[in-house]
Amino acid sequence: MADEIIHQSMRLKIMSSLNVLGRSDWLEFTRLKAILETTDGNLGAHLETLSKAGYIQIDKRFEGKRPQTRVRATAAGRRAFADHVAYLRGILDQPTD
Amino acid sequence: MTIDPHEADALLKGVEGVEKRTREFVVYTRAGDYMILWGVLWALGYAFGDALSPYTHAYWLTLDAIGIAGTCLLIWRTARCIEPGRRRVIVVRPLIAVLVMMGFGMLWVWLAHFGGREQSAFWPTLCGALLFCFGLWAGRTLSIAAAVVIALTMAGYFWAGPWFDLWLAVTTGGALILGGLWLRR
Repeated sequence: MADEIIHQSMRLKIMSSLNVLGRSDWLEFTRLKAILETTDGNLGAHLETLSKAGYIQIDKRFEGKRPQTRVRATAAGRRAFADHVAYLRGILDQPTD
Repeated sequence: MTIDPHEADALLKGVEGVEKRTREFVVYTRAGDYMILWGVLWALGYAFGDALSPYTHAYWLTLDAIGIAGTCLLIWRTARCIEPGRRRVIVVRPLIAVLVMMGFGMLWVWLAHFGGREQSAFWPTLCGALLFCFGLWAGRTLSIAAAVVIALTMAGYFWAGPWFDLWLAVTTGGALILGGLWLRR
């Protein structure tokens, strides 16, 4: 079944990227923004949505004097992503009339 | 919610593209650490190796030992955050490739009785060749960096005259450090 939160294109890309990393690995906001080629505002809004759904964790901290935001996928997020990708593959595998 | 096959196909292609870019980012960041480590050691080795004669051999052995210890530390750090099932592909195979390359290099240095100049050129070009091949799978930026290292080494071999070791310290060591920093940027 489709996951309506992950289905949105940018959120699906965010989960794709975080899912590649190890379970304990964080990805910096700025790196994720570069990988996805998007804007701060757009990425921030979608991260909030995924965080509220429990699919990602957001960590805000200071690296020296510089504020740093980093994110990682939760176990629930990885499961939801895998299920949604399987669902999309299932659609492609259906025989066409 | 209904999704038609065209939309599903486009979304899955988007997923594949992002996964590829993320893997490249991870590989570049990790490769950058190794390049900075060995770039610093090569720069130190080539810059001061000759000046420390008759302790040159011991000096290089010390630098190599530091490099191997640092490499093991970086490998351990990488392996720690990879799922056990994927460690064979991501850690063990590249490690075996490096060990085979080192063994091949040591064998031929021993068999071929290289002169000092040839030996100075041999290791950077051999490591560059391995990095180039690794880049064919991991990302072309690595192959470009490796090609630069090989080209600079050979340029120095032919044209740097008595300044060859200093040339290697600045250009080859420097190229590795700058390349590593660039990959990590």
